[in-house]
Amino acid sequence: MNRVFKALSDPTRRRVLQLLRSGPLSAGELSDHFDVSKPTMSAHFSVLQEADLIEPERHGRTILYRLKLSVLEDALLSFAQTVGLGAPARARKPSTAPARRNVQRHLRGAT
Amino acid sequence: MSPSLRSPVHVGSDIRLGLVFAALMLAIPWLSKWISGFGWVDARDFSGRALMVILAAYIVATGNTIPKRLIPRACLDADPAAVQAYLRLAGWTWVLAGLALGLVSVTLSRRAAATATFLIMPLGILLIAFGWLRLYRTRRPAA
Repeated sequence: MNRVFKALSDPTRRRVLQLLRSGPLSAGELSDHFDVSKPTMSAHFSVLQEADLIEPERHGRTILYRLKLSVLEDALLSFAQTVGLGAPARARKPSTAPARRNVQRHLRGAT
Repeated sequence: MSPSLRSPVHVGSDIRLGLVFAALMLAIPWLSKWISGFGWVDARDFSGRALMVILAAYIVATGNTIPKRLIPRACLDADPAAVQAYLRLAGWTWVLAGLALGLVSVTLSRRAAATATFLIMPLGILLIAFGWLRLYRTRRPAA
């Protein structure tokens, strides 16, 4: 049970579980929702796997993660989400490319 | 997608759980007779309620693990998201039915509790069966 509490204490991992509620997703699809590096996401997946909350399935070259929550764990997840334990998960940042282009244009115009 | 068949079926823990509840159910009549010897409770009433509470606890314990363990073979052709949703529905329904059964067994009179039991359990089973039918309809046609 300690592993379950540890897994549910992190907002990113809770968000992963919430995303998986709608159905199995690949590691890449899940990672797209967060602004964290792949090794960090991989570590989150490992913690969730250790707690037996998700199950990986290999399909060719992709790994699909399936939710594996008991009713009690599901209720705990909802409770933790409602109470809002920990800091909110870091969502993917909006692309900075347009801003960068504006800066470059500005610099070109200045010279 | 072919859902994994590696999903652990913890046969050992299932048998242990069954044995524990069976032992409790066997011990209840003896325990109620012993307690009624002190004149604290009516042996028949206590025995009936205690058995129902143990049964309710067993239903809650089994329902809790439904989403984690069961992957019905007939569902393997269905959409994995639909299978997952069905397992969640079945688990939650079974747990809530167990909790309701325990609650009515403790709070209501024996006659009212018996009537409520015959409403709660079939309702839960019907809900699960309805979910199963819905899932069956979403199955992919065989290739």
